[in-house]
Amino acid sequence: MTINEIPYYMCRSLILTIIIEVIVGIIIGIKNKKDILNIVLVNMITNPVVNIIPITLNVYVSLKARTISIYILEVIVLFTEALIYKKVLSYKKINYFLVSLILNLSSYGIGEVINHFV
Amino acid sequence: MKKIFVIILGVIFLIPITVKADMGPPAVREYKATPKSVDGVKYYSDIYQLNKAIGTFEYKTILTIAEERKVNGKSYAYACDKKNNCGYVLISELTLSEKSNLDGFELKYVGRVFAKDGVELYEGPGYIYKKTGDKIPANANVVVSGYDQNETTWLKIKYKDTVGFVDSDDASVMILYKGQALIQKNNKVATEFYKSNAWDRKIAYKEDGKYVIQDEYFEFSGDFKYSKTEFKALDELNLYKLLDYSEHKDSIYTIKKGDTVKFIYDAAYQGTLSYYVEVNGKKGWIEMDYGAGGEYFEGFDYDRILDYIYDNNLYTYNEPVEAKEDEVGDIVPPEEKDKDEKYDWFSKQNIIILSCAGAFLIVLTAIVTMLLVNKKNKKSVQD
Repeated sequence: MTINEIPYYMCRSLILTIIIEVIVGIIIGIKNKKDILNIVLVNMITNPVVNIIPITLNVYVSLKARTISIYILEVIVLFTEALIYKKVLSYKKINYFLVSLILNLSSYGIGEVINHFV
Repeated sequence: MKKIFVIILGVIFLIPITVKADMGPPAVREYKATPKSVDGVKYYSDIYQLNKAIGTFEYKTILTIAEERKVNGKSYAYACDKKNNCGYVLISELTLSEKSNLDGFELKYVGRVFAKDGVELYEGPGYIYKKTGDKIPANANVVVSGYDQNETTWLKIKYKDTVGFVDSDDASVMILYKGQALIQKNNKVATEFYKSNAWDRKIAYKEDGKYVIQDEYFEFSGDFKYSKTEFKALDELNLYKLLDYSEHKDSIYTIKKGDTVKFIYDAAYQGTLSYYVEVNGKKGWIEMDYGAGGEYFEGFDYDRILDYIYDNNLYTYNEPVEAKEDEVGDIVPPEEKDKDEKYDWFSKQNIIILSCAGAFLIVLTAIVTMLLVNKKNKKSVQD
């Protein structure tokens, strides 16, 4: 990924994350349209932040800073999303924290697999 | 609901996606470069085994490059970091950070383009530099710098008002030399000839109005003439049509004991002395190891023969022909040219700012939308 490709990379990452998390959300039983819209919106809030901060750190600091920041941000995102889900989701079958964990693990894991092959 | 989705998708795709299109010789003037990708760049121990990377140079690592190679149309650089980790990387994956030293690239000699498709010019002496977009046609007469004393194949070149650097490998561009050259093919003498750099050692000469390019295999010793040119043979010796040792097949004649041999030219090749001689009406080349002349010819003493008057001998190692002053013209140094360059809207800093702005816009849109959606929902629940 060159500097010029950053916007493209961010868009791709956001779209893929939304698609994966919506599909996994449906699989675990989230069927309410508003809930699905909230999953999309939550990702639109967290994903650009999770992407742009590590990239900027990589460009201006080092690759190490990028790697460390990814792990820290992923944990922050996990709790932030859980809190938002608690407030906005009507889905009650699974604990909000667990919903957030499942969705984030699936998008991160599948994303890594895709990155490996693309 | 549909409207919201349309707005979200619209915002996502409003972000400009700018993907920059990507648009030899072993040695190159040293320069510094950094990996283009923020993921760094993989490096390899062997250009021909690109499936096994030996490591990755991180983004921002300053790499020193003193070697470039072109394989299957792709240019590779042999890069080393400060810790002396070295390997081959694709030049297209690097960004130039410190230009090569351009001393000694003064335009002064007469040159000619021999590449059939012409030559493309670069902004500096290496494939890391951008192409200027200019192409000089085949057979064009040009003004060039001398072959690089750092033993690279890059020449600075001027054609009409166009100036740039060109890789002269494969005899694409050669320099005109003064003097005489003996052509191996037919043992004729060329008085106008071009020579390529030390790497590919080629020579071009005019024959029947056309230029012929051939390999240059040997050096003429060329500074002396024999006072006595005829010697009596003491032993048998083969006479060859050409001096090119790789072409030696059958001898054209065998000199016999007692034959009178007339020496015409001499030449040296890899420690062996060769002479163009005439015997019994046949002309050709004979080979003798240094100091062995006395074994084959009566009274032949190589060192003593060296004392005599300079004349007749042929040599290629002469001065290149200098271009006249008005042909050279004023050259704009690359540094001054850089000043005129337009503002780079797609610089590293601008792309990062643009990405951050895009991210902020998306986040803001999502927050507002989320608030609106959930407020509406609360209201409808309350109602």
